[in-house]
Amino acid sequence: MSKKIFFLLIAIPVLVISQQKRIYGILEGQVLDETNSPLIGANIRIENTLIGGATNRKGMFRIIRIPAGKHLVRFSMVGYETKLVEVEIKPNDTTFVLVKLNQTAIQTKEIFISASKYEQKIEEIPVSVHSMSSNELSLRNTRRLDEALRIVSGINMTSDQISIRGSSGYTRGAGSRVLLLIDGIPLYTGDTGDIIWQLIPIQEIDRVEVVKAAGSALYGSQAIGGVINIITKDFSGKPITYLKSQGGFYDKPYYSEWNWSPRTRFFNTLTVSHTRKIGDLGVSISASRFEDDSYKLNSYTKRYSFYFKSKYNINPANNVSLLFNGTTYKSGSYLYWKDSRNALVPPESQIGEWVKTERFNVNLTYQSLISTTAIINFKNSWFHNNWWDNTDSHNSSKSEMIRSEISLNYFLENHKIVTGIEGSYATVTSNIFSNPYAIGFALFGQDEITLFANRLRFTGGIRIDYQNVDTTLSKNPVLSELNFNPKVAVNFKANENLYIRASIGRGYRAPTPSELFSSTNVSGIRVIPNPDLKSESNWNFETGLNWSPVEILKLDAAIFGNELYNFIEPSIDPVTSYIQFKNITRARILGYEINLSSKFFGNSLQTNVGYTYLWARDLKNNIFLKYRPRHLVVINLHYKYEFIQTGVDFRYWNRIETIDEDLVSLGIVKDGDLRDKVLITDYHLSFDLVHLRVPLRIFFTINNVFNYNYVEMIGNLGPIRSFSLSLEGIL
Amino acid sequence: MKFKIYSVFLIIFLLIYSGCEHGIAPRSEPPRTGFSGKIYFKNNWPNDIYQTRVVAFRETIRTVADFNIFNIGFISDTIPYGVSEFTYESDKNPLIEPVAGTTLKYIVVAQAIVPTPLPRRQDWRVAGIYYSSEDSTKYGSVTIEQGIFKRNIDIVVDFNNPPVQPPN
Repeated sequence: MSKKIFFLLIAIPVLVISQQKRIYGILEGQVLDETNSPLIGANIRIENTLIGGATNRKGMFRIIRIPAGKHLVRFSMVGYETKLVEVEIKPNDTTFVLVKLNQTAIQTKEIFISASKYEQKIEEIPVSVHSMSSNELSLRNTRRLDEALRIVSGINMTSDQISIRGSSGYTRGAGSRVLLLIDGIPLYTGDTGDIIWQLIPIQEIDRVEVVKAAGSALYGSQAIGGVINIITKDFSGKPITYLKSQGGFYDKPYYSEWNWSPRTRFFNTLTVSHTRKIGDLGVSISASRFEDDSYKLNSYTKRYSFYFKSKYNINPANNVSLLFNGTTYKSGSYLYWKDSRNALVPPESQIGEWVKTERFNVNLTYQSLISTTAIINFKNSWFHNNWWDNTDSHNSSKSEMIRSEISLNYFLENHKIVTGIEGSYATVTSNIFSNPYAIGFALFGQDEITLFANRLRFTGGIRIDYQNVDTTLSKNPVLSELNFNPKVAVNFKANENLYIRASIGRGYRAPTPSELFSSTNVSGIRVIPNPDLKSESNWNFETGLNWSPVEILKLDAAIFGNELYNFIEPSIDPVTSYIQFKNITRARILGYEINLSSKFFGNSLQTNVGYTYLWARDLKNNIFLKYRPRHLVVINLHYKYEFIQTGVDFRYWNRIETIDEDLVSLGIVKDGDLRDKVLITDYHLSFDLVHLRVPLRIFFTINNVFNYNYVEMIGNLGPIRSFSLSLEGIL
Repeated sequence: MKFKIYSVFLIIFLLIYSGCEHGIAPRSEPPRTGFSGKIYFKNNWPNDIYQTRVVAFRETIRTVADFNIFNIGFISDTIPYGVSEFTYESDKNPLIEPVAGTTLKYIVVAQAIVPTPLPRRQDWRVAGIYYSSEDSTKYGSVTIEQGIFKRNIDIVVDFNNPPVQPPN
């Protein structure tokens, strides 16, 4: 049956498309701004096709293999108005165009890829999304991506566990309800299903896309609470070498009794990267060393990372790319403080404990433009994960995850179809998670139908996932499930400035091997396996609008809801005192989010204000869900004057209402009930001397300017005030 | 224009508000709460011991299920193998520190007989019990009172004459 479905979804369009015979021509040109300066990286797209390109450092572009005839060509770039130009492509000839783009007051035409696996304008997406550029990461001297995500509205982090609109609480790394992708390929470990923030190559990020809704209809398990897609940088036309050095230190803690170290605590990063194109081959390579003494005792990290990306254009219609991304590090174990008087010191029993890790992922992608309206993508990945610690139990886990996906993007006049199949296989060798395997198969399809002169976009899609997890190959595996995740969404363009959206979809998350098979000892408490664990799921709905009443103002508002079933949470059995992961909670999350962006003083001053309200309720126990704030506020101010940029980020959460009370009442985390609102202000200042023809950029930041004392996770004081300076040289 | 003025006022308000707030603060050192005592070991230590700790239960152990984490009110740091005497203090490096308001009715020296013991009956052997000072045939109890530190909760462990074991 599945073979027939595959044939219908993929084979027929491929066969039909390959029958088409065309005569082609070439389009060449240059894109300039109002001052006749070349625009680098401007996007050129032949309308209603998948053919396109981008300008080089001279603003030039060349697109070959365009079917002869008249075409509408779209020229766009962030910060500039989009232009549609009609050109006639002559058979076996070159057509030249010169296009000038004018700067716009507001960036209304940002491109986003993660919501549908193809490029869309942000306004036309039927769910809430957010895009963060590499510049935003650089300005803030970001060392780990999770630091930067804290200033995205609707996101809160509990230690290193991410929650989008209240999707997650805290499970100490056992499973994530947000799916992380790197260039569209999932990146989570085979054993715990956890996001490894240390693995993400910050210096190679072009932009980060956040989808704030269940994405299981396209991406499957883990996307139950949303999707984060890291888009890596493209290759530079000319050879460029970057050398970035960052150093900084933590200030003294606000209270003298917390000052446990007689010396200043430093951190530093050194990164060398190189990018170039050699004919049809693009290469980027980078290596970095990271060291952090930490402001907490026994919380140090020393890390080395390596990154390699290459893309070879076999011919204008086919390319193959390879990405290797790896890291190895050692970090001290810091679970919670000794008590509130020793808020930066762990209990004696944890001092000296460490974890060592080796992790890497290899992604191999082949892309084939089989016609002007269809692309086939073959995506393959391997994620190796190995860690071990020096605790009495000598915990260790090694997992390998292999994944393959074949997808087809097929664009017709009023349809944008995405369809594909996916398979994955993971093995785990561990003394705490047993030695399970996990097999997954999936089939997905989505169609975006455009109606009423492109004003109404209707999207419908479904993904079918099969999961099989066990420790031995048997007829009755521990987990054998079929999940159907449909979604329906609409986006209506009321006028040029107002877009209205609505969506409903199902999300799900299969339990990870760590949740099914964990058998270990945490702080004297036994964690035991639960082979009866089933997938958790949700129905996610949202309606919202995107409105730009005037050029300098942009409003995005949404009302959302989540009905959650069979929520997996760790639970303590009162009789045996064992901890097990169980499907215990039926929950409901309702809320709304308002984001207001504006620009003043001729676009020099940019402001973003975001407010999210969450009503997150455990319906079974009639309590607020653990580790979810009710109010989240994010404010970003950014001022740019010639080569100087400066700004302030402010974030607020109210005091978390519900925590792991058991950990406090059992005396495991002393003073663990101590918590307050989160009220953090960060400052950044940078000088881009490249404007003065000096190949240097300088970034200075003060994080937690007012040295505010807060906890995200009980018994863990958040980062105290720190100062950092980085220099980026361009050779 | 009004919008700009409001924005400036909002920013100034937030900066002042943020600068005045400092969040959580360390709680003041509470008066010493808990108990201490001495453990006297007689005769040769058994060979099959992996850990030795003072463990205090809220209720006496009547069934195997009573030996669980919720019934345990105190677990001391480990006692070194082979010592003849050991002084313990409930607030010095405990695995679980006693909480004020609880009464500990069964205080024992427990020895783990497996390499990685868990808080379950089959992993432990009772080597000595704290008895009431008035009646040495009855288990002694200690009520943890805020600000009061009780001493002389002593236990004698005689490896040649082990006490009655809890149900298993």
